[in-house]
Amino acid sequence: MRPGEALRVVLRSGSGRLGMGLLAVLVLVSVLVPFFYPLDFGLRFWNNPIAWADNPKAAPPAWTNLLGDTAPRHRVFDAEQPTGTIDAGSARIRQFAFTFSHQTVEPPTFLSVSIGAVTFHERPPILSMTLTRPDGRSATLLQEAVRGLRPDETSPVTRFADEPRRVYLTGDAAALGAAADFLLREFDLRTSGTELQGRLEEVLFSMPTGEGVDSLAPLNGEYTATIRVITYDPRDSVQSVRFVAAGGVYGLMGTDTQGRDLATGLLFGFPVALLIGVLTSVAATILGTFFGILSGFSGGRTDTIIQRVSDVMTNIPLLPILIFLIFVLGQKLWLVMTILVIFGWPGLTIILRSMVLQVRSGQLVEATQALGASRWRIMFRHVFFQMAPFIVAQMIFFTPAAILAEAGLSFLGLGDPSLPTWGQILEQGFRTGAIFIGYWWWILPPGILIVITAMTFVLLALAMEPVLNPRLRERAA
Amino acid sequence: MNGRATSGEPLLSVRGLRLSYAAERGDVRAVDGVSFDLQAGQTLAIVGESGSGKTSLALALLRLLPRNVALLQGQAILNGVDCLTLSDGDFRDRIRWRQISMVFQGAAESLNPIYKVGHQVREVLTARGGHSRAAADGRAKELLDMVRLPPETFNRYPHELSGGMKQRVAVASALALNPPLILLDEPTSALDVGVQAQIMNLFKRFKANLGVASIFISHDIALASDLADTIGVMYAGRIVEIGSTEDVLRAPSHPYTQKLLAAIPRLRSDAPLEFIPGAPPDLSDPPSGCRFHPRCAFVMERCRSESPPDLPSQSGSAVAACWLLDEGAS
Amino acid sequence: MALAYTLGLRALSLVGVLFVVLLLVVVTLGATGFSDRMLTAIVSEEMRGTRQALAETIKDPERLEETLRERRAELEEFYGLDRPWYTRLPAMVGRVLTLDLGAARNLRSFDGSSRVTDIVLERVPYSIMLVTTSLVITAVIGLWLGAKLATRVGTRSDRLTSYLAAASNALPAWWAGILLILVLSFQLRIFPSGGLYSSPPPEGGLLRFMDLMWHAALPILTLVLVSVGAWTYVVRTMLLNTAQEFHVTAARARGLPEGQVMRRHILRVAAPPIATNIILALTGSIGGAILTETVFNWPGMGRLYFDAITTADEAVIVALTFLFTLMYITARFVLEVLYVVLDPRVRYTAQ
Repeated sequence: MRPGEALRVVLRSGSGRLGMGLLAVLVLVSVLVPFFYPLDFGLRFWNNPIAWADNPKAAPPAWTNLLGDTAPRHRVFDAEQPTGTIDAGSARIRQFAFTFSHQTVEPPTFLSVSIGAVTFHERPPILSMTLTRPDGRSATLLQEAVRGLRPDETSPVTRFADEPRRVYLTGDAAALGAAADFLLREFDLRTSGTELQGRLEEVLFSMPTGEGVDSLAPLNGEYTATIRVITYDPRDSVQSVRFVAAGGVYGLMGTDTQGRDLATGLLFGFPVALLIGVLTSVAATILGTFFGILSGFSGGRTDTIIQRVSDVMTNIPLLPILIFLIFVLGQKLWLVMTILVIFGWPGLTIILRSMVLQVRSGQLVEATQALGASRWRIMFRHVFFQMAPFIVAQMIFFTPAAILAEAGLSFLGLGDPSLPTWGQILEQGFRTGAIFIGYWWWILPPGILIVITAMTFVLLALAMEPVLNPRLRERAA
Repeated sequence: MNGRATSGEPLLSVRGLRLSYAAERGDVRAVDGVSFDLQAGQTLAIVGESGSGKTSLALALLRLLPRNVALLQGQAILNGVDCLTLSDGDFRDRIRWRQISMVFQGAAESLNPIYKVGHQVREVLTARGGHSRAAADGRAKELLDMVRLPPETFNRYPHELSGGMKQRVAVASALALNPPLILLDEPTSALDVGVQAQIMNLFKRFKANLGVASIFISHDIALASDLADTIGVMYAGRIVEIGSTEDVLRAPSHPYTQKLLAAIPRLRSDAPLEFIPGAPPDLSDPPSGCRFHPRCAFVMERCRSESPPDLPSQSGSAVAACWLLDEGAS
Repeated sequence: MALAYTLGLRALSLVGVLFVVLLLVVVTLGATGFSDRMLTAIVSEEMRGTRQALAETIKDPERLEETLRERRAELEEFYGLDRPWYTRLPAMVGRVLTLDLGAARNLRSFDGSSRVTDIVLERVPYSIMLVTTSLVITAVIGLWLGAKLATRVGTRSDRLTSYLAAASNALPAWWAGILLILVLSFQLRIFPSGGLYSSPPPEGGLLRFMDLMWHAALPILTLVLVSVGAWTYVVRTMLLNTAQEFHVTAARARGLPEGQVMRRHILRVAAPPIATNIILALTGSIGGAILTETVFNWPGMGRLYFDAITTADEAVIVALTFLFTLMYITARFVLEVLYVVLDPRVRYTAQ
């Protein structure tokens, strides 16, 4: 059967159409992802906690708010140019004012300020951050000087160039103290920084309704965070300023407990899963086909050796060996794939050998042999083409097995950290106890994607059946 | 159509038997109006090419029909009972294997690979014959002995036996319930010539000793004539000629029968072997008129439009469905 | 005789598989230097005991250190640490065979022993219990449902089962387990999410047993769910194939009762190919069991794998890999014996 005809048969069935559609989506996403992702995404971003510091932790997807929850949105303000500049003598105050509307009952989950690459010549600049509330009251939560010239440094000096100066206000003792001062000054509430531990946003984004800090009513409206950088030399500069009022929800797929945007991790998983499945199955199929035809055709000692090896290999329980080898040899994706190929070919070889033996005794081959065709020519021109649809079907069927094997291995904690996969995301969720806390957005999507990807190939294999079995084809027609 | 040499009530009387299967191309008329009589203890051979409907005829008599049967019509009266109108249960209890048994074409496939052959013969006896297991064991051994199998065969598995031995087991099983009629569907075609002769001798012995009637189905008219009292030649679902073996062989009337006979290789004959040009017709769309006309050397105008009735042949007892006989009479 | 010969041949071949796995494990350990680390750990363990014992008798600290150094050198020679790894291969194979792998780094057995043998062996019954129970349940459902569907080929329920069976190829056991935990344990709170007993475990034999069953329900359900579809489909297809064989028609021709035809001529004849398919599915179910135990924190060998990976305990991983292979090969042999008993055709062909 020619490829075009086979494709038509596959597309005739519902499972074939669905499988092809899913495959198209998988391939499209997998092709697009490498354009938008750096290739060292795994090490540089995914498994680097600093990259995700400003994201809310374990936040459900943003669209869950549509279902009636009242979690605040995640707000990130970045600026390179100040919104206003005040010159006072030699001092210049750069103001970065960020205004946002707070309309939910829940306050932001945390506040943070980051300032990147401050260059100064003489006097070190001063950084501050003030939060102004809808009622006009304001609290200065951050006030610090950049570290001055050290004896071994010469002016000008640039600080926070590699790594911005990030102040996580929610856990910052000075900020908590400032909030306590604020409560005392504005509402005559006596408390302390330690007492406010973990409650910074709660008190800043509400009005006290009685005695103490336990009776609070949310205060909605426009808030403004003003970040000031005071410099003392006209040549001094500041490169970037960021303010984050972290939300209770995030993005399309939410975040994990490290604040990682699950959507990016899941997207990156597409090409990796496809790579594992396709590369492994293609390689195993090529090996299996080669040895199967060789074994069936050559007979004698070659045949015996190949059959013995295949018999032993198919009798080895795969997962324990895979666990052992990956644990000892190292968590490398290429290693996983190599092992899957090494253990994957013998099954096909055994089947193909018996098919070759059947075909070989058939009349066609006998006739071509009588006509003087060489053995290898017969092997590939006649035998291979007769079995090609079967081989393709086996390849398709092996693909989900490879994907699931890698996912299982990752789930046990043996994933390759340089390439995040769906199995690894699931494993981290499982280890963190996401199932028991109910972080469904962390657990469900990677599993569903694994199942859908595997299902795509199972559907295609199912649709291949009429191609292999002409009797079924008639029934389907 | 009646064989002429009848005396008394026939054992089996088939009248106007029709059987067709539903297929995508349209109904396949495998058996299309077949009638004959068979006397007790006699052998009728049904001879024809493959696809002529002879196996379908046998399966219809034993009511072993595939699911896609579209039509089953006519009568098959065995000892005064119409086998085709009995309920399934009645047929199974009264007729199947008790009155009519069968030896199938592929003996190897007709045996269950898992059980010892003795147990398979015994199974019929206990399940159908009401024998106790011990009695059935004895009878099964007796039957194996009757088909000339050594006693240890009882404890052998089918795969340990040769094709001929398996066929003997199938014969023993067919004889188990002492039926008056056995259908033999190409019982020797899968066997070597030597083994074939042994099996044929077996049949002859049973015919003589046990008085069992049989319908012998074969594509080989020479082999059939060895056993048969009557020969019916089947073509495209119809019996085109039927008569005593002697008459049919000596003076075949139907051109098809003549061709079949001319195709038998003969010792010491210089005449070239003949073959029948063309292929058997598609039974879902048979030719009009006489079904043989596209391949007939003597085809006439009316052969194409009118189906010939059964006409007596010039010599002896046979009748044939051919317009040539009509021409000769007029 | 022939039967014994056939089985002997299979046994030999399976022992060969075990040996290949052993060799693979030992060579990998040796070539990567893991075996040095493992043996050094064993030596250090023994040295601790020696030091305590010697400290009683030898009071002079310098002499004590000297004796200890000598003792250590002796031990290192005994374990072959002074020789290249490949000269130790036979001894290492023996070590793995007898599970004599010293002490685990962090893992402990239920009663606190750190010997790898203790830690690993006490898990075996829990794994076997889980796997066999789910296997029996799957087999019963699969045979019953498969036989039922074989009589109604082409109906909606038949097609649905075929599709579900195919779909279950894409459903890994651990993911099914996670879903069950999310729904039945976290949301509906019907079943516990993992573990062996409630804490504290209830008193009394029967109550304790019931508690165990309650905890085992979800893992067993998981294993049954992911494999029952394929089982049903295999049984159905094998029965159908057999029903189309000519000897079944021949049996019907003989007028045998339909029940007898079904039992003796279809079910019984289809049993060997069904057994073959089960043998082929065995590797998969071992993997499924490892991951299912992990998900449900079931204290079997599979969960131990997870824990050993977490704590990087190579001795435990080696022991588990060997034990799983051994278990698999034993199960496989049992099934092959079953197959040979079921099918008279293979009994004699080996000759």
